[in-house]
Amino acid sequence: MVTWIISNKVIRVLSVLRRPSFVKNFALNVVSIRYLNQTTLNRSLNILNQGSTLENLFDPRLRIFLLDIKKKFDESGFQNIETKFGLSVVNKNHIQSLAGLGEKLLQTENDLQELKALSTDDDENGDLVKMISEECSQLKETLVQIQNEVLELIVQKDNQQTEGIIMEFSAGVGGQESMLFCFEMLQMYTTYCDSEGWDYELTDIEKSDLEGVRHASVCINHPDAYDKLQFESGVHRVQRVPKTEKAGRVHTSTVAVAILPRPSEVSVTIEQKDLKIETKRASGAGGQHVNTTESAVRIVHIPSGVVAECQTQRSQMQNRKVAIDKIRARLFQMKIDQQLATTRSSRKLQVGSSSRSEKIRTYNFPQDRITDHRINFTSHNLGEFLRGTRPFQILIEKLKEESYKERVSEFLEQIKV
Amino acid sequence: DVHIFYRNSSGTSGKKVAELIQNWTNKFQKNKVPEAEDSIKHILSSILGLKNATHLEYVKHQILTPDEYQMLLVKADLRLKRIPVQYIIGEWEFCGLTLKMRHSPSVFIPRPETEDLVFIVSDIIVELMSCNKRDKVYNPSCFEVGCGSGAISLALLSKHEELRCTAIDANPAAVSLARLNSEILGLTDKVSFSIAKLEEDGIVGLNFLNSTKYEDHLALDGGPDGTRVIKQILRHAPKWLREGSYIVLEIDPRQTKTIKLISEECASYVGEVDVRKDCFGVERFVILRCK
Repeated sequence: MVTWIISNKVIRVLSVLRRPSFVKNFALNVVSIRYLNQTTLNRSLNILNQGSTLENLFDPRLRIFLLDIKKKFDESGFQNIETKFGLSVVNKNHIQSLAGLGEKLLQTENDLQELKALSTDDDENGDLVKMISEECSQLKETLVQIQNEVLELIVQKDNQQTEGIIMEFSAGVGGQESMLFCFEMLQMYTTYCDSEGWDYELTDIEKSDLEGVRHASVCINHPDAYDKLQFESGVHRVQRVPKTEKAGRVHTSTVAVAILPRPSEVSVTIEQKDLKIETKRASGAGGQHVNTTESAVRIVHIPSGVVAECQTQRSQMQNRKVAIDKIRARLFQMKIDQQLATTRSSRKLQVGSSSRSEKIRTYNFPQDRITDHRINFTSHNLGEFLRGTRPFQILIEKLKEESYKERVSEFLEQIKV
Repeated sequence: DVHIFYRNSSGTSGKKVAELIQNWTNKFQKNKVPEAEDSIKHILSSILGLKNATHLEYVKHQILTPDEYQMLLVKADLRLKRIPVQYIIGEWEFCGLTLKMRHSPSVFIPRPETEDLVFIVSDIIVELMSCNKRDKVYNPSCFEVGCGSGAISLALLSKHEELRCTAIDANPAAVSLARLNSEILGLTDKVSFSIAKLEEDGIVGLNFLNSTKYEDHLALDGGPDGTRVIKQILRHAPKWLREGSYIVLEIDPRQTKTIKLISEECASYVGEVDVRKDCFGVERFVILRCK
């Protein structure tokens, strides 16, 4: 972690400031702190300090929590880190880092106080005053950085390194029109995957008579996919004049999107003996099977009853692999849903089974407008949006940011002062 | 004899993917071509360079270039003659590997059941490797009779770093194709393919077999050959295989009884005999363990 070379005496402070290596170290330390950038700085200020004053840069609740952890750690090491707030949110791996940050916080506050004391003494010396105020603002930045680091460590999701996600699209209300839009949604996300350079497979598709899609399933194979697309889960609503409409009236139809994170094989293990593998075609009675190109499989996970099918791959082994991945993702989702059922959350951006039936976004074609209802965010340029380009990417960033803010607030609320 | 005419390289053919799928599916069905829709989809996705047939969904409205359309006509015509899709598109997947397929002269197309054979042999390799640490360390090796496109050996090699394979086939076209596939997959230094045939008194054409003994395995893809080859393998096995080795056979389910009779003959050097079912529930694999 960062080590500080600011001492307690002003003289040494000043001479240290003048030393080029200090500046370099400080700069390096600034850069090496995770997640530091201007937006993070602003983000932190916005979240916590509605009326941020000089004294109030660091949220008092967070301060109490952090110093409590530091104290417990100093006393008894890793054991028994149960703060008096009864929070078990702190990941054991982060305890040492948090204790270090607590230490840093105390030091920084100390230094700030001493500098302030000094500044009241030396009013005449303009140069000195300037240096002191510069150092003051650097120390305040440090406070904000510490706060950000603490928050990132705590509010970080207990991730779940995912290998990717499964996205499922289902046409909802609106008949043909909703099936057409379902296909357009599928295209939007696959184009987005292409632009991100992610590998994906269309594992399942059920088409309608005309051009639409009733149901489709895409397996995206990239660890970043969940992080970016987790908030796409829910009901997407489209308002436009359908192609089939003669009178030119605007119709509203819906498409449901579900996102299932795919856990690593280690986090959800599936025993071979628990699987019943069925194949569609009947094998020839004699000799090797007559040559065909079809090798569909259907797998039942006996203990849970989860069923998955796949027939889109060229080899039987790959169809099996995709079907098992689907089962694994579903089992994982069941585990998550169970956990979520026990916690009550008022977060709008909480991902889980209840959110899947909520209307999250409206695409209004006549007004060329997309509105995300959870964060009240409006975007224009539907054409670009539906190609998964910049407007879509902006919305994703916004959603991530809002979710982060919500989680921080929720966490802080739990700390009883 | 196939000619491709280049007419109008600029401009388009005016034919959309979705239309073509529909029209050709109907045409194949009228001509009673099996798997009509899948056939045209595999052909089209191959021409368009897509990963597999499902990716056609994203390009439903794409219009083919004249060259692509010409190629489609040629290939669809081959399919009307009932030539297998794998030969028409020149490649297929097996155990996660893409292997080239050859039509004239034709080389056997790997079957899905055979993927189960690879799993069985793979498990045996893992088991043998785990014993390694206690006794000596020697690397498993595998001898395949009737390699065809090289599917089994190459699939095993791609899963097991330390494995070395030797494979033979009486069909020179097969050996040449298998060598090509091993080059494409970058496995040439771990496998050798030779043209050789199993005769009554041993293998003709394979020289070095006299000097080395196969350590661990024999994998045979029986194909429609009948029991003759299998009998010879079982008779010659003790010459080639060390103790503790395995012989794994993929057979015609009607042959199970014959196998049992034969292995009773070899009881002096063959210990356990295990018969396993394939993914279709049919008895397909026989595993013999050498004493």
